[in-house]
Amino acid sequence: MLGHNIYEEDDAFNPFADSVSPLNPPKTDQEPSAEGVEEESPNVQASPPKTHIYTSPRKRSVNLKSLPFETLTLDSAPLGPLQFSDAPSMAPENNRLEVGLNTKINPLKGSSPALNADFSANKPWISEVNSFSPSPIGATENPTIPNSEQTVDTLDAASSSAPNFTHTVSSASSQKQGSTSLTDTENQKAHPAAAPQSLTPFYIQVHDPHTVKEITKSHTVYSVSTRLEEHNQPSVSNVTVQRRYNDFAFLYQLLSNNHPGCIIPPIPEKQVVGRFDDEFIEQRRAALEVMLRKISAHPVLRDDYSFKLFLEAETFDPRMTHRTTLIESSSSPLRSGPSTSGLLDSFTSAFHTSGSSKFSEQDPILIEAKDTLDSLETQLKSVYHALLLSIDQRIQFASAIHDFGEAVGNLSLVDLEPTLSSKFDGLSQLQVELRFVQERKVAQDNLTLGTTLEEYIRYVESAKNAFTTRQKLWQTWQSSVQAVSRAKTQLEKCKKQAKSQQKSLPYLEEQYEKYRAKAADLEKEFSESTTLLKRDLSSLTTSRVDDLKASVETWLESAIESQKEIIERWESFLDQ
Amino acid sequence: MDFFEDNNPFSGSDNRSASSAVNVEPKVEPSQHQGSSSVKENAISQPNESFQSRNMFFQKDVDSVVDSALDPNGIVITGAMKAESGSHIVYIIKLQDSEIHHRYSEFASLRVQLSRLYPTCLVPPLPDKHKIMDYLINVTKNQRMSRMLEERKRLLQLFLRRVAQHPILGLSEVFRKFLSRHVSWKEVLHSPPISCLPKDLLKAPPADPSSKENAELYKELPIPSKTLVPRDNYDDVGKNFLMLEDTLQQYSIVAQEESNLFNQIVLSNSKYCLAHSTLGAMFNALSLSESGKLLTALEKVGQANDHTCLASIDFMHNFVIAVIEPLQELSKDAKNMRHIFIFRKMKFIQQVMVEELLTRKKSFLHLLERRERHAARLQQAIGEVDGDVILNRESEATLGVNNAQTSRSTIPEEDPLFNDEESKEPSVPLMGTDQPLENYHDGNGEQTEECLRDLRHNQSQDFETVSQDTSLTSVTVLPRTIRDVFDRIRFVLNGLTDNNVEVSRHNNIGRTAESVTHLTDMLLITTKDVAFVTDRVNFEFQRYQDTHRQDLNRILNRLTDSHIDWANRNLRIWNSVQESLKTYVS
Repeated sequence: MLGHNIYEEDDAFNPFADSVSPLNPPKTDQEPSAEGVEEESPNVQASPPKTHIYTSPRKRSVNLKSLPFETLTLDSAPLGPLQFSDAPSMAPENNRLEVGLNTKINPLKGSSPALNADFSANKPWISEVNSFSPSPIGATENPTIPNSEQTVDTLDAASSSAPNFTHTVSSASSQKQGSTSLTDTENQKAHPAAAPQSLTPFYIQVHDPHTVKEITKSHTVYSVSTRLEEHNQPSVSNVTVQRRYNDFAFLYQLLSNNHPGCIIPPIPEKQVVGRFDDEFIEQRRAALEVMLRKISAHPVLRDDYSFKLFLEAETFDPRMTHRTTLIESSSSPLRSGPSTSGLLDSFTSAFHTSGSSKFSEQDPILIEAKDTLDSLETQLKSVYHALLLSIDQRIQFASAIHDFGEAVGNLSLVDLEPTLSSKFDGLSQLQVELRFVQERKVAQDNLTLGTTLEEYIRYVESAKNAFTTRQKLWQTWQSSVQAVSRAKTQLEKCKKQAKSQQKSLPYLEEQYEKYRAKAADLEKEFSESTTLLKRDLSSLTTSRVDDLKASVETWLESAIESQKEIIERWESFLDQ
Repeated sequence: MDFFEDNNPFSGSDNRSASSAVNVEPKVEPSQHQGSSSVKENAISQPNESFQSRNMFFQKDVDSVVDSALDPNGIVITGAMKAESGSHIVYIIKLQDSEIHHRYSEFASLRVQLSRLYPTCLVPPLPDKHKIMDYLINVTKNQRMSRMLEERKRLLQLFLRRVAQHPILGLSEVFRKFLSRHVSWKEVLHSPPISCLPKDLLKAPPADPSSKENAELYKELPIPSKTLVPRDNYDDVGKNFLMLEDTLQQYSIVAQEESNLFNQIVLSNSKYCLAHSTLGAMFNALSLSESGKLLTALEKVGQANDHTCLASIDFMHNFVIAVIEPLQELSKDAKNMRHIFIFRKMKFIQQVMVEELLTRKKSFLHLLERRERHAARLQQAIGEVDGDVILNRESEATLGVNNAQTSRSTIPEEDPLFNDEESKEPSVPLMGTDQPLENYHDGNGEQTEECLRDLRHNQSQDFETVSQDTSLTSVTVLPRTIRDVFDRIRFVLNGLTDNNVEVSRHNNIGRTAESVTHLTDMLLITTKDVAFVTDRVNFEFQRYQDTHRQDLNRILNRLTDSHIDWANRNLRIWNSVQESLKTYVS
């Protein structure tokens, strides 16, 4: 178990290695702890009426106690498990009782802590089940972190953005699916009061790219400015932060892990050669701005805690690292549970894990959608390639026109009549102007149709990524179903035994209930992700059609204008 | 044409009158060309000739000539087909009332003969001859074969029309016979106008190379080397022509380069069409995977790209016909005009050479006359001392010494008497010797003249050397005395060896005088020819400039119009697609 723990911790830190600068490791180590303390104190201040001060120290003490219990269990395994089995069973029971008391005392306010407890309680089984496939561990751990935050943010958003209920129909419907009946009641109460007010959407701008030069390598830093106007607030909040490409990539990864089945607006591809050219930087800046604006326009992604942190926090990287550490520490008290099952449970869980790796899509709508995406990707790539070929030929055509213009200029230098010389001069200048027209057309083709086609090629890849994250969620769900089966089997075994051994019956019953609740939650999440995927696919189709139509119209406009300009120039030459 | 048609049903006596008309024509042509080159004046002069000969058929021929000259666009090449033997392709030339079949080699032969008959006229160029390999490759590809034939038909038709438009070439007898159905081209090649041409045009009058007037003089004209460039001897007109020649050469090179660049534009546009066609195909493929409205819109965009491709193909085709071919023709015209300037330069150099020859011959004649007077004076001296010579023959040594003493003693005593006698006597024997020399010359043939010319040439070199010695002896008195002694000795020796010294001397003088007269005539003829060529070349260059200006204007207008049409077609296509998109958006 210790080996597994160390490996999991390494996996937890690996995703953040890219963002942490190797030149400043000691500072990052100090800052997370300080910010952690700062972050905890506002929580305490923000929720004094919800939670008693007396209970939070106990949680910390429980966390500290669980570590030596786990160590003692591993050390005393060969001596005799029965002697120590009573001691660890007592500690979890006390923890459960205290949580239950809290729930009974404050049913309305205490729902979110209960959810947190449920998630953290079920964590060790998930980690044990996935021990044979280490890479999904990081993926499964990350979704739970923002899920709890998402729940809190959802409640906050529901309370604060209640006026937006009438304007955002789709987001309201999604919130209905995810929220409880109590939340609906709360929204109904707030709705009549906030009806006349309206909420202005985000205005995000990416500007002022400049190159930061360091000893080992250089990178480009972008300024991200956010303006949020709310009528219920007296002033306008305007925040500007500095971000680099890796920050955008990390944000994309966080959003992708936090929202399985959701199509995340893609980032421009990574490029090594020529990444400091002004033209390339400008293109990337535009693409990054489009990405952030589309995220802010998404009904679910715009409320994500990571996204807000990205837009507002001074330093984006260390807090996420600290948050991951918190999740790890919160999940440790339940790791002693699987050890009581022994080798038989480990073998059974391994068998079920291998059995649940197969995934077959049963929804005909999604099957058709995926096939459509595959063919669409092929088509878009073909059109994009043909467009690039056309642009290349047009460039050569412009070069040929230029050479011809020079030759005509040479012809005018020959000792001919002055009228003919002037006409040849006019023709030479005309050829030069036509070359500029062709070059301008090439630039416009790149900016309009080329950019849109390239963007949607990456969008299709992002949609495929959404399918992948949804599939992983399904696998997690199946694993939890396996855990429920194992818990039920153990419970039945315990009931068949003699009464002298029924001391552990309440524990097993509670464990079974916990696993069943976990499975139900995962099933719910899976269905939610399916619904979210379907809705995102339809919105992707709509926005793709609109954007493609707009870009084709712009392309036609530029083609028509270039032809008109050619006609004007030739007619003016004809008048001479 | 009416003339020949009316001639057929008549009897044999009419054929004789027709042949007599043909005989009259060669005499008429020189007067046409020697006079003004205006078409009107030629038309006026011909009726006078016809009235004098009172030949009705000749008058009809004149009418048909005028009718044809007024309508060069009536010449059309309607088709091309394989000849009966199958070895070559025959082009069908259709006029107003008749058809003629000619092959490419006959067109080329026509152009060569016109260039030789009218060296000062700018004959339009022909399309380049295709290689045999081109035909072998293109036999399997009928489309390319037909395209090549279409191009050649178009260019040959243009050649015939431009010849017909020329004020002199259009009225040419050879051109008329080429367009005639009743005359075979092989017969024309062996008939008098072409068969009378000399091998080298510089040995013929430029006004009418087939004329036989002054044939003997023209045959003896010197031929300058092409590498000879005596720029110092040029007059203002010649220098101007040299500059024009350089300009035309440079213009020809630049025009050829421009034509190559045009081909490069066509090639680039061709690739651009392929790219657009591919883009249209991709848009059509993309539309298949879309929903209803966007499907139709994308399909429209794909069709627009296809139409753009087709419009560009048509544009390239018109571009080749309207711009590239005329440019190549202008390049060839510039080369031909340059050759005409070179011909005029050769004529001028020829005149300079004749003038130099004449100057040399005159100085030689002057030298011979001076030698003749000196010889006469020596003859008188020999007559006085005749007795002493006879007496001294008995002993050689004594006679030699005595002869020297005698010559020294006689010179100072009789000087004033010799001068008086010489002034009276020389005129009489010269007049007497001229007549027999002329008679003797008439009896000799051409070969004898050539031999005599060689001798004369050698003697001229010797006497030039003598003249140099004479200039040296005039400085001092003693060399003159010694030279006189040597002259007397030589004279005596010649007298002993050849009894006909006087006759040969008189013959030399006669031949030199005749040669001077001959060269004087040649100089007159050459000067007149150079003046004629200068006028003709000026006229031809002026006409070339006018034609060139018109051609360039036409090329530029066609270039502009084809571009505007191309852009308008594209604009129409894209506008229709834009409107359809707006419809689907709504």
